[in-house]
Amino acid sequence: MKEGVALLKAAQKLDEEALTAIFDQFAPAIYKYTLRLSHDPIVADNIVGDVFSQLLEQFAAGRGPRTNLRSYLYQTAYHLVVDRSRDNQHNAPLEVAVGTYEKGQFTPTQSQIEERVMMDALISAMNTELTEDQRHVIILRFLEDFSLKETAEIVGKEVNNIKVIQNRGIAKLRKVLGLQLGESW
Amino acid sequence: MENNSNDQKVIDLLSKLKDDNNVYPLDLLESRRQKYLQRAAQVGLGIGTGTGLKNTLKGRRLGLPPAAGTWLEVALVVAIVAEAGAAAYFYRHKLADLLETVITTPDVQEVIPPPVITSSLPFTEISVAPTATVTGTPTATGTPIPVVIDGTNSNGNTPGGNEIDNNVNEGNNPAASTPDPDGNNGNHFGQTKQPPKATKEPKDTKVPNHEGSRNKNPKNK
Repeated sequence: MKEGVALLKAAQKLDEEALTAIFDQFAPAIYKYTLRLSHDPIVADNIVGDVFSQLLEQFAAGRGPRTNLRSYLYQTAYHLVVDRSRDNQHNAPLEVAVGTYEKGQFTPTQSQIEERVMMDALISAMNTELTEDQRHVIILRFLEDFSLKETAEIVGKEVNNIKVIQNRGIAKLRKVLGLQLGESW
Repeated sequence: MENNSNDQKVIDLLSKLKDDNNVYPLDLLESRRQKYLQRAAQVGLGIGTGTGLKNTLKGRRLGLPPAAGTWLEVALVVAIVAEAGAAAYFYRHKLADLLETVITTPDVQEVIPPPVITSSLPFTEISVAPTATVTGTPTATGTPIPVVIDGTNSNGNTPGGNEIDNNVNEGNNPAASTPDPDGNNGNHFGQTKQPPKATKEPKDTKVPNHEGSRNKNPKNK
């Protein structure tokens, strides 16, 4: 399989193999990311389709990403999610966002129960207490492992601004979790 | 310090969220993949058609050898120069006149006084014939000068006698049209009609007032 820049160059020439490889490599990740933001599997699937459709159009027009394909795809997905959230203020149940995290195959231990409680509190705080920017930045930084620079490119802000948004988001989560979980925080 | 440790706890919890089993459902993924590949094929077909057309055009353009373009340009320049030279040869006289006109035309025009005609009057011959006609001859001043010429025919014979009679054609001769004043020089002193004298003098005749502006109006007196 072609890697990196070679894959991107082949995709720019609309090489079918390269285009297929890009989809297989990034579609599941984009789906997870969009599901975290939109909380709706159908919306996430549609956004994945839109993201790759736009990518094809860009390649056909001789444009599109030149270096960082991953950031480009996440950026496109981010804009689509933001556009849809403006059109339709829809919040799915929190469980959708965490997926099947709680679907254990075995009887949980005490520590696992405590962790489960913390995770629920965290997810609840992320969805209710954080601003939209803070939630996006925290997801991109800690769930998708983007660097500060890449996150800044995706969200369309300066790196320093991303740092401020991230610190404020973490501080708010810490505060909320401390209030909910009491002395353990 | 405590905040930093708590922040790290939050970050650790967030990292655990990465490991959720929130995967793309296979049916949705496969359906989306098929649509994507179809779309890619359509776009690729369009691009392929465009590329083929472009290559065809390129091939036609490159069918000529590279030196042919240079030779074609040279031939066109030579043809244009030859045509211009032939046209200049055919119209050389007109061009020469035109050039001469352009070159010899002074930039500052001189003021030339009107020509003085010394004596262009035709020879006046007083003939015996009494018929006289007046012809205006242009002079420097442009005023017609009455000239009495004879009314002889082509043979030179005159119909009348040899005496000149100024009174014969007095009405037709402007030179002799002014009658004898007979002592009347045209002044008619005392003959102009005068308006009738006013019987009553106007009241507000201006009288020089030497007493000041208060007594300007004579009615106030």
